Amino acid sequence: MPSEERPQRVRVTAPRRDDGVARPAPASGAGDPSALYVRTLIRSQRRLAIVCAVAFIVVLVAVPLVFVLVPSLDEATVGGVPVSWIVLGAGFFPVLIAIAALYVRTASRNEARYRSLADDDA
Amino acid sequence: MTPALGYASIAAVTVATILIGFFGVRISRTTSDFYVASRTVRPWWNASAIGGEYLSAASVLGIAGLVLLQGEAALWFPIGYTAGYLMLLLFVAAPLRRSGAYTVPDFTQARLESRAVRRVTSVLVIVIGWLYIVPQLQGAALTVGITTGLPRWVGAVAVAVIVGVVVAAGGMRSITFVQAFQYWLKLTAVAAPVVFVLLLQPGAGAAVVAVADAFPPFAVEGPDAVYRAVSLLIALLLGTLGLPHVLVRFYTNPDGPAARRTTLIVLCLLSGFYLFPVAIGMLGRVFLPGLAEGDPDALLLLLPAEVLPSPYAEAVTALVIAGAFGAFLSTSSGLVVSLAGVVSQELFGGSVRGFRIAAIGSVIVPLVIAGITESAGLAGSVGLVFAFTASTLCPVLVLGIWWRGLTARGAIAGMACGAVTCGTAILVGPLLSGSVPLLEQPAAWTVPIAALVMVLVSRADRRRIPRGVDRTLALLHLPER
Repeated sequence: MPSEERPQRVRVTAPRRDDGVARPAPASGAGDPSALYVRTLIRSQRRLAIVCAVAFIVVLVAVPLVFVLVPSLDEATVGGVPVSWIVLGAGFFPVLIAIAALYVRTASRNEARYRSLADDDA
Repeated sequence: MTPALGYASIAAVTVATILIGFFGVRISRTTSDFYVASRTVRPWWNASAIGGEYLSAASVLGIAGLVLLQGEAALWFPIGYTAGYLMLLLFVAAPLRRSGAYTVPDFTQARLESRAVRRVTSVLVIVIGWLYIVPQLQGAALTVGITTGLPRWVGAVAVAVIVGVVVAAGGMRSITFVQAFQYWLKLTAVAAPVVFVLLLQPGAGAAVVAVADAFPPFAVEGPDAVYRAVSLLIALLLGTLGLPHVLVRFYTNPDGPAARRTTLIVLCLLSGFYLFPVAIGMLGRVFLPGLAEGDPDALLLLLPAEVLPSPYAEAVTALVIAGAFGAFLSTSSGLVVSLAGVVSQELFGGSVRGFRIAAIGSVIVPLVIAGITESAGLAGSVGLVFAFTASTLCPVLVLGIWWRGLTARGAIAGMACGAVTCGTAILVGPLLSGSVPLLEQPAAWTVPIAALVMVLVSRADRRRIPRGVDRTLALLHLPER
């Protein structure tokens, strides 16, 4: 079965650039299902990006707020350096990387979902 | 400090840069090679190159100096510089790569189907590039002045000449190798002092505890300080996704998913890097607090000699000088590549010869500006360039990629508005007596104004939505397979 699928895929994807330009061209027709898929993909990618950005900004605001509201936290020190210095100097980086990794995975999944919808249709 | 040490390390990093650049020349032949390395650069190479290009004088020298000077408030700088790449990943990376354009003006023209937009974007890219090269040259002047005792302008001229020659000779392909090498050089340069202090100075921990007032606990000094921090973060978060020398790197990824993977690796590389300038700033608060009144930007260069025993001090200092000089070389050459790409396409029809002429021209103007202006803190002046980028190129990129309704007139109005408001704030701010936070950190109001104008004018101009918008958006967002 896979041996039958593969050559087909290559034939469809080879003129990649033309494919990208040509296929959505009739998208002006409102009832066109492929245009609908494209719009759905863009919308889900946009929502994902905004959710990730907001998540980071929430963390960014929450951390200084916690230190302002609970000043006693900063009495703790690591090697003579208050905790807030450590958190601001190093603590945000793992959060950034985690959000970024999650985004990359989910964005690819959105694209895979689009691809399977478009392929089913074709 | 012995001048011989300074000469030797500057010479070494220069020779290494030129050799790697020269090695790359053999491979780069066609126009496409020159501009974007034929889009065949692997994610790890590309990510190292982006790191090498991005980590400028502001990151290598400026952050340590700022931590020494301002303390905890300066810690927002590395966070913002890194988080800018998260925003780049979320909103720009893959679609920009899929657009298939060489430069930012190429992108705006293709998306908005207008030559006028292209021209406005080109002018902005050139202005941003010039503004960004200036602090690099000032950093070079500082480093050469302190380490060799030569007059300061020598450093600025040296960097300008080397960059002009390397870029004109090899274009981006050779620059990719140079940049990737520079990231690892810079990382070594900032890590070495920290690692050696921890290894050779077991008493350092005790010294930190002894100097209790070096690390005051977290405090917020009034609404002005909050505004400044918020505005700075807006500038750094959004400014990164309009930086022309960073964006041009994304065209060298083979496809959209590769562009995302590259950005993720960049985030990791930057996170690892920024731990060290912060640590150096903190060591500076313990061992060299007096430097805050002099040249805080020189902290990284002077710290090893202050805290390390003799043979190690010289070795680490040499490495640090090489890394700092590498920073000026790599960021400036990245900027010159993207500037030259834009200028040669505008004026010389995109020929290789035009690229060479444009590359030389792109280093002369900033050199003149650096010669007639005073350096006012490296991290701060680079921060202002971020504010300017965030107020101009960022809204047009984000709205262009994600909003169907953007029109050419809206984009031009928004970019002009952002450029005028932010530019005025940057120029007028230093002239006023006393400090006006709204002008010192303008991003918090200039970015929303630019974006709002862009949306409102596009709305009013609704009938001129580009005809091919659906096709273009599909090209930006559909997976390549």
